[in-house]
Amino acid sequence: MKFLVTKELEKSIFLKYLMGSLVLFVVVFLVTDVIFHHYFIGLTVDQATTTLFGNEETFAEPILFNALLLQVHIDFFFSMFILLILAAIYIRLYVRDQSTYIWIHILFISGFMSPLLLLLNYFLSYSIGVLVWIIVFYIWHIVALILCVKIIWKLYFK
Amino acid sequence: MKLHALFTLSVAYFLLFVVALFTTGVTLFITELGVEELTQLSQVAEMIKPKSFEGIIEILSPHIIGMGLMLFVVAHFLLFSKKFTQAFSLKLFIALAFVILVDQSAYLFVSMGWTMFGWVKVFTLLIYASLLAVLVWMVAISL
Repeated sequence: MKFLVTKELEKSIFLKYLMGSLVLFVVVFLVTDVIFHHYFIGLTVDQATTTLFGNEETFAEPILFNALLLQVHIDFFFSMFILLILAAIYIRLYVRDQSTYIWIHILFISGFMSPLLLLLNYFLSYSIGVLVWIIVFYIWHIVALILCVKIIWKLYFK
Repeated sequence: MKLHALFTLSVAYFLLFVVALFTTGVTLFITELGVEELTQLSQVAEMIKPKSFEGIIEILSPHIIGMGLMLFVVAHFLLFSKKFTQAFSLKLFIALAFVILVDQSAYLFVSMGWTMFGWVKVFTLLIYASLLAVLVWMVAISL
Protein backbone atom coordinates (compact mmCIF):
# COMPACT_ATOMS: atom_id res chain seq x y z
CA MET A 1 0.00 0.00 0.00
CA LYS A 2 1.13 3.57 -0.63
CA PHE A 3 -0.47 6.41 1.26
CA LEU A 4 1.20 9.77 0.63
CA VAL A 5 0.28 12.35 -1.99
CA THR A 6 3.37 14.48 -1.39
CA LYS A 7 6.36 14.16 0.91
CA GLU A 8 7.27 17.83 0.80
CA LEU A 9 5.03 19.40 3.40
CA GLU A 10 7.03 22.65 3.61
CA LYS A 11 6.22 23.47 -0.01
CA SER A 12 2.49 23.02 0.42
CA ILE A 13 1.21 25.83 2.64
CA PHE A 14 -2.37 24.80 1.84
CA LEU A 15 -1.87 21.26 3.17
CA LYS A 16 -0.17 22.71 6.24
CA TYR A 17 -3.18 24.87 7.05
CA LEU A 18 -5.61 22.06 6.28
CA MET A 19 -3.85 19.87 8.84
CA GLY A 20 -3.61 22.67 11.40
CA SER A 21 -7.28 23.60 11.21
CA LEU A 22 -8.39 19.99 11.40
CA VAL A 23 -6.27 19.44 14.50
CA LEU A 24 -7.77 22.56 16.02
CA PHE A 25 -11.26 21.10 15.50
CA VAL A 26 -10.07 17.87 17.10
CA VAL A 27 -8.83 19.81 20.15
CA VAL A 28 -12.22 21.48 20.55
CA PHE A 29 -13.94 18.11 20.14
CA LEU A 30 -11.75 16.48 22.78
CA VAL A 31 -12.43 19.23 25.33
CA THR A 32 -16.20 19.24 24.68
CA ASP A 33 -16.25 15.43 24.74
CA VAL A 34 -14.79 15.44 28.27
CA ILE A 35 -17.39 18.03 29.36
CA PHE A 36 -20.17 16.01 27.73
CA HIS A 37 -19.14 12.77 29.47
CA HIS A 38 -18.86 14.66 32.74
CA TYR A 39 -22.56 15.57 32.45
CA PHE A 40 -23.82 12.37 30.82
CA ILE A 41 -21.98 9.69 32.83
CA GLY A 42 -19.85 11.55 35.37
CA LEU A 43 -16.08 11.56 35.51
CA THR A 44 -15.66 10.90 39.21
CA VAL A 45 -16.16 7.43 40.70
CA ASP A 46 -19.17 8.56 42.76
CA GLN A 47 -20.94 10.26 39.85
CA ALA A 48 -20.28 7.48 37.35
CA THR A 49 -21.25 4.76 39.85
CA THR A 50 -24.56 6.54 40.52
CA THR A 51 -25.24 6.89 36.78
CA LEU A 52 -24.43 3.27 36.00
CA PHE A 53 -25.81 1.46 39.05
CA GLY A 54 -28.19 3.97 40.63
CA ASN A 55 -28.28 4.97 44.29
CA GLU A 56 -30.76 3.51 46.77
CA GLU A 57 -30.23 6.30 49.29
CA THR A 58 -31.01 9.11 46.87
CA PHE A 59 -33.53 6.99 44.89
CA ALA A 60 -31.47 7.56 41.72
CA GLU A 61 -32.36 5.11 38.95
CA PRO A 62 -29.53 3.46 36.97
CA ILE A 63 -29.12 4.46 33.34
CA LEU A 64 -31.12 2.40 30.84
CA PHE A 65 -29.00 -0.18 29.02
CA ASN A 66 -30.17 1.09 25.62
CA ALA A 67 -29.17 4.66 26.46
CA LEU A 68 -25.71 3.52 27.56
CA LEU A 69 -25.28 1.26 24.52
CA LEU A 70 -26.27 4.12 22.22
CA GLN A 71 -23.65 6.35 23.85
CA VAL A 72 -21.00 3.62 23.50
CA HIS A 73 -21.99 3.19 19.83
CA ILE A 74 -21.64 6.95 19.24
CA ASP A 75 -18.33 7.02 21.14
CA PHE A 76 -16.94 4.25 18.93
CA PHE A 77 -18.04 6.12 15.82
CA PHE A 78 -16.49 9.44 16.74
CA SER A 79 -13.29 8.09 18.26
CA MET A 80 -12.55 5.82 15.25
CA PHE A 81 -12.45 8.78 12.87
CA ILE A 82 -10.75 11.16 15.28
CA LEU A 83 -8.02 8.61 15.99
CA LEU A 84 -7.48 7.72 12.34
CA ILE A 85 -7.18 11.36 11.29
CA LEU A 86 -4.95 12.26 14.21
CA ALA A 87 -2.72 9.20 13.73
CA ALA A 88 -2.39 9.87 9.98
CA ILE A 89 -1.23 13.46 10.54
CA TYR A 90 1.05 12.55 13.45
CA ILE A 91 2.70 9.69 11.57
CA ARG A 92 3.35 11.96 8.62
CA LEU A 93 5.10 14.55 10.78
CA TYR A 94 6.88 12.27 13.25
CA VAL A 95 7.76 9.26 11.12
CA ARG A 96 11.44 9.37 12.13
CA ASP A 97 10.65 9.62 15.83
CA GLN A 98 11.26 6.36 17.70
CA SER A 99 8.40 7.00 20.13
CA THR A 100 5.76 7.25 17.36
CA TYR A 101 4.96 3.53 17.57
CA ILE A 102 4.29 3.83 21.30
CA TRP A 103 2.12 6.95 20.90
CA ILE A 104 0.01 5.30 18.19
CA HIS A 105 -0.45 2.13 20.25
CA ILE A 106 -1.44 4.04 23.40
CA LEU A 107 -3.79 6.29 21.43
CA PHE A 108 -5.68 3.47 19.70
CA ILE A 109 -5.73 1.01 22.59
CA SER A 110 -6.99 3.59 25.12
CA GLY A 111 -9.46 4.99 22.56
CA PHE A 112 -10.82 1.50 21.91
CA MET A 113 -10.88 0.38 25.53
CA SER A 114 -12.65 3.48 26.85
CA PRO A 115 -16.16 2.82 25.40
CA LEU A 116 -15.67 -0.93 25.84
CA LEU A 117 -14.88 -0.56 29.56
CA LEU A 118 -17.85 1.76 30.02
CA LEU A 119 -20.13 -0.93 28.63
CA LEU A 120 -18.47 -3.72 30.63
CA ASN A 121 -18.87 -1.74 33.84
CA TYR A 122 -22.63 -1.83 33.41
CA PHE A 123 -22.51 -5.60 33.93
CA LEU A 124 -19.61 -5.88 36.37
CA SER A 125 -20.95 -3.40 38.95
CA TYR A 126 -17.58 -2.78 40.64
CA SER A 127 -16.51 0.74 41.56
CA ILE A 128 -12.89 -0.23 40.82
CA GLY A 129 -13.96 -0.95 37.24
CA VAL A 130 -15.51 2.51 37.03
CA LEU A 131 -12.22 3.99 38.22
CA VAL A 132 -10.34 2.06 35.52
CA TRP A 133 -12.77 3.39 32.88
CA ILE A 134 -12.27 6.98 34.09
CA ILE A 135 -8.48 6.58 33.96
CA VAL A 136 -8.57 5.06 30.45
CA PHE A 137 -11.02 7.75 29.31
CA TYR A 138 -8.66 10.48 30.49
CA ILE A 139 -5.62 8.70 29.02
CA TRP A 140 -7.05 8.68 25.48
CA HIS A 141 -8.15 12.29 25.67
CA ILE A 142 -4.85 13.49 27.18
CA VAL A 143 -2.74 11.45 24.72
CA ALA A 144 -4.82 12.79 21.82
CA LEU A 145 -4.37 16.35 23.14
CA ILE A 146 -0.61 15.83 23.50
CA LEU A 147 -0.43 14.62 19.89
CA CYS A 148 -2.48 17.65 18.76
CA VAL A 149 -0.07 20.00 20.54
CA LYS A 150 2.92 18.18 19.03
CA ILE A 151 1.38 18.41 15.55
CA ILE A 152 0.69 22.15 15.88
CA TRP A 153 4.20 22.68 17.26
CA LYS A 154 5.78 20.88 14.34
CA LEU A 155 3.57 22.59 11.76
CA TYR A 156 3.95 26.20 12.88
CA PHE A 157 6.73 26.62 15.42
CA LYS A 158 9.57 24.48 14.14
CA MET B 1 9.25 1.51 5.16
CA LYS B 2 8.61 2.70 8.69
CA LEU B 3 5.93 5.04 7.37
CA HIS B 4 4.21 2.11 5.71
CA ALA B 5 4.30 0.07 8.95
CA LEU B 6 2.86 2.94 10.99
CA PHE B 7 0.00 3.55 8.57
CA THR B 8 -0.69 -0.18 8.43
CA LEU B 9 -0.90 -0.22 12.22
CA SER B 10 -3.45 2.62 12.20
CA VAL B 11 -5.60 0.92 9.56
CA ALA B 12 -5.50 -2.35 11.51
CA TYR B 13 -6.75 -0.58 14.64
CA PHE B 14 -9.38 1.20 12.55
CA LEU B 15 -10.75 -2.15 11.37
CA LEU B 16 -11.10 -3.19 15.01
CA PHE B 17 -13.24 -0.10 15.58
CA VAL B 18 -15.39 -0.99 12.56
CA VAL B 19 -16.12 -4.41 14.06
CA ALA B 20 -16.92 -2.87 17.47
CA LEU B 21 -19.16 -0.22 15.89
CA PHE B 22 -21.08 -2.82 13.89
CA THR B 23 -21.46 -5.13 16.90
CA THR B 24 -22.82 -2.37 19.15
CA GLY B 25 -25.10 -1.21 16.33
CA VAL B 26 -26.66 -4.64 15.85
CA THR B 27 -26.98 -5.15 19.61
CA LEU B 28 -28.67 -1.77 19.85
CA PHE B 29 -31.06 -2.67 17.03
CA ILE B 30 -32.04 -5.93 18.75
CA THR B 31 -32.39 -4.43 22.24
CA GLU B 32 -34.41 -1.47 20.88
CA LEU B 33 -37.01 -4.00 19.76
CA GLY B 34 -37.45 -4.99 23.37
CA VAL B 35 -36.28 -8.54 22.78
CA GLU B 36 -35.66 -10.50 25.94
CA GLU B 37 -35.00 -13.89 24.39
CA LEU B 38 -34.62 -14.47 20.69
CA THR B 39 -35.18 -17.98 19.44
CA GLN B 40 -36.16 -17.37 15.82
CA LEU B 41 -35.19 -14.88 13.15
CA SER B 42 -38.86 -14.34 12.33
CA GLN B 43 -39.35 -12.81 15.77
CA VAL B 44 -37.09 -9.89 14.84
CA ALA B 45 -39.01 -9.08 11.65
CA GLU B 46 -42.35 -9.27 13.45
CA MET B 47 -41.15 -7.04 16.27
CA ILE B 48 -40.24 -4.14 13.99
CA LYS B 49 -43.13 -1.81 14.72
CA PRO B 50 -44.14 1.26 12.74
CA LYS B 51 -42.49 4.37 14.18
CA SER B 52 -43.46 8.00 13.90
CA PHE B 53 -41.91 9.97 11.03
CA GLU B 54 -39.87 11.93 13.59
CA GLY B 55 -38.60 8.69 15.11
CA ILE B 56 -37.57 7.36 11.70
CA ILE B 57 -35.72 10.53 10.72
CA GLU B 58 -33.95 10.49 14.10
CA ILE B 59 -32.51 7.07 13.22
CA LEU B 60 -32.16 7.55 9.45
CA SER B 61 -30.33 10.88 9.43
CA PRO B 62 -27.21 9.98 11.48
CA HIS B 63 -27.07 6.43 10.09
CA ILE B 64 -27.16 7.33 6.41
CA ILE B 65 -24.15 9.67 6.74
CA GLY B 66 -22.41 7.51 9.35
CA MET B 67 -22.67 4.27 7.38
CA GLY B 68 -21.82 6.03 4.12
CA LEU B 69 -18.77 7.67 5.66
CA MET B 70 -17.57 4.44 7.22
CA LEU B 71 -18.07 2.56 3.95
CA PHE B 72 -16.10 5.21 2.04
CA VAL B 73 -13.21 5.25 4.52
CA VAL B 74 -12.90 1.45 4.76
CA ALA B 75 -13.35 0.90 1.02
CA HIS B 76 -10.85 3.59 0.01
CA PHE B 77 -8.06 1.53 1.61
CA LEU B 78 -8.62 -0.95 -1.24
CA LEU B 79 -7.37 1.72 -3.66
CA PHE B 80 -3.90 0.93 -2.31
CA SER B 81 -4.36 -2.83 -2.35
CA LYS B 82 -2.26 -4.96 -4.65
CA LYS B 83 -4.19 -8.15 -3.93
CA PHE B 84 -7.61 -7.19 -5.28
CA THR B 85 -8.60 -5.59 -8.56
CA GLN B 86 -10.30 -2.22 -8.44
CA ALA B 87 -13.14 -3.61 -10.55
CA PHE B 88 -13.98 -6.18 -7.85
CA SER B 89 -13.60 -3.57 -5.10
CA LEU B 90 -15.99 -1.28 -6.97
CA LYS B 91 -18.61 -4.02 -7.28
CA LEU B 92 -18.41 -4.70 -3.56
CA PHE B 93 -18.61 -1.00 -2.79
CA ILE B 94 -21.71 -0.51 -4.96
CA ALA B 95 -23.37 -3.58 -3.44
CA LEU B 96 -22.72 -2.29 0.08
CA ALA B 97 -23.94 1.22 -0.76
CA PHE B 98 -27.14 -0.22 -2.25
CA VAL B 99 -27.73 -2.48 0.76
CA ILE B 100 -27.24 0.47 3.14
CA LEU B 101 -29.83 2.54 1.27
CA VAL B 102 -32.39 -0.30 1.23
CA ASP B 103 -31.69 -1.22 4.86
CA GLN B 104 -32.17 2.33 6.08
CA SER B 105 -35.21 3.11 3.94
CA ALA B 106 -37.00 -0.11 5.02
CA TYR B 107 -38.18 1.68 8.19
CA LEU B 108 -39.98 4.28 6.06
CA PHE B 109 -42.08 1.57 4.43
CA VAL B 110 -42.79 -0.07 7.79
CA SER B 111 -44.06 3.32 9.01
CA MET B 112 -46.43 3.43 6.01
CA GLY B 113 -47.99 0.25 7.28
CA TRP B 114 -46.14 -2.20 5.03
CA THR B 115 -44.97 -4.39 7.87
CA MET B 116 -43.51 -6.97 5.47
CA PHE B 117 -40.61 -4.52 5.06
CA GLY B 118 -39.57 -5.69 8.52
CA TRP B 119 -38.30 -8.76 6.65
CA VAL B 120 -36.47 -6.53 4.16
CA LYS B 121 -34.80 -4.81 7.11
CA VAL B 122 -33.69 -8.15 8.60
CA PHE B 123 -32.41 -9.57 5.31
CA THR B 124 -30.56 -6.42 4.26
CA LEU B 125 -28.97 -6.29 7.71
CA LEU B 126 -27.73 -9.87 7.24
CA ILE B 127 -26.43 -9.09 3.74
CA TYR B 128 -24.79 -5.90 5.03
CA ALA B 129 -23.08 -7.88 7.80
CA SER B 130 -21.76 -10.45 5.30
CA LEU B 131 -20.54 -7.87 2.77
CA LEU B 132 -18.97 -5.71 5.47
CA ALA B 133 -17.14 -8.77 6.80
CA VAL B 134 -15.80 -9.44 3.28
CA LEU B 135 -14.72 -5.79 2.92
CA VAL B 136 -12.95 -5.76 6.30
CA TRP B 137 -11.25 -9.07 5.46
CA MET B 138 -10.10 -7.73 2.09
CA VAL B 139 -8.57 -4.65 3.68
CA ALA B 140 -7.03 -6.72 6.50
CA ILE B 141 -5.23 -9.14 4.19
CA SER B 142 -4.08 -6.27 1.96
CA LEU B 143 -2.19 -4.69 4.84
